Amino acid sequence: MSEEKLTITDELLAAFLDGNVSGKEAKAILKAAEEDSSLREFLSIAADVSEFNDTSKGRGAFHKSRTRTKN
Amino acid sequence: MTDKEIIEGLIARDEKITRKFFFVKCRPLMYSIIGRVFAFDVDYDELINELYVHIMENDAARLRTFSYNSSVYQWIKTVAIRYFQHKRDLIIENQSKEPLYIEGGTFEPHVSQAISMDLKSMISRIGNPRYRLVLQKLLLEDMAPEVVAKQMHVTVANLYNIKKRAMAAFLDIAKQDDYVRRKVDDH
Repeated sequence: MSEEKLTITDELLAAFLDGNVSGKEAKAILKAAEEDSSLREFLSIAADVSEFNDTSKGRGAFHKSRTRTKN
Repeated sequence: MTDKEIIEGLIARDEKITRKFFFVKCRPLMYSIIGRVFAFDVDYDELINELYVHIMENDAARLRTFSYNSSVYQWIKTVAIRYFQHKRDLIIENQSKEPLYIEGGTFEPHVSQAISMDLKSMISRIGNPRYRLVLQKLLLEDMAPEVVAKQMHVTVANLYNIKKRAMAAFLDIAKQDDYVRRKVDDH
């Protein structure tokens, strides 16, 4: 049975840039980028403007998708 | 301002929050993105206003469904890049009557020649061992931040900052791969 294809939403990409995705989600994004030049360009631009990352204090912690416990 | 205050303020069209966050704090980021996306002259402020309208469409539906899986700033950055990419493509399409293909080939990259964006190998190419370790634990082993922080003898807040820098290093690798891929596709 094939794996369910993950929809690459803005929210998922933002979480990816913040490092708040699972390994499975990260792999799905990179797999999608292999076939989508627009997504590759997105990653390239995101890297170029990474110096503008948020420096506000905010929650100063991981967002809710990463707060689960796994041993 | 917390992300929640920003989201709620934007939804409520709070003038002070909208100006302070979207039109002041995000402006340098927007300018940088626009400069990077568009290879031709555009009206920067007009594009930023368009983006604001895009975000507020359908009674701010996008903001209302924001799930806080990233910072709101990172989300705005993501939405902005994708919106401006789409806008640019529309402009190019409308300005040119030429077909979007060339004889004997297309503008689409040859996937068969693509360099695999393998997560493990990309992480292994990050120079800083601390960054490598953090991404390996969080992305490859899918460990919880609390567990990784404990193993590394840092606080979760410190781990968060290390991870943000690690992601920037990771994206540099992705960018290098994309550059090489485009070179390969040129041939």
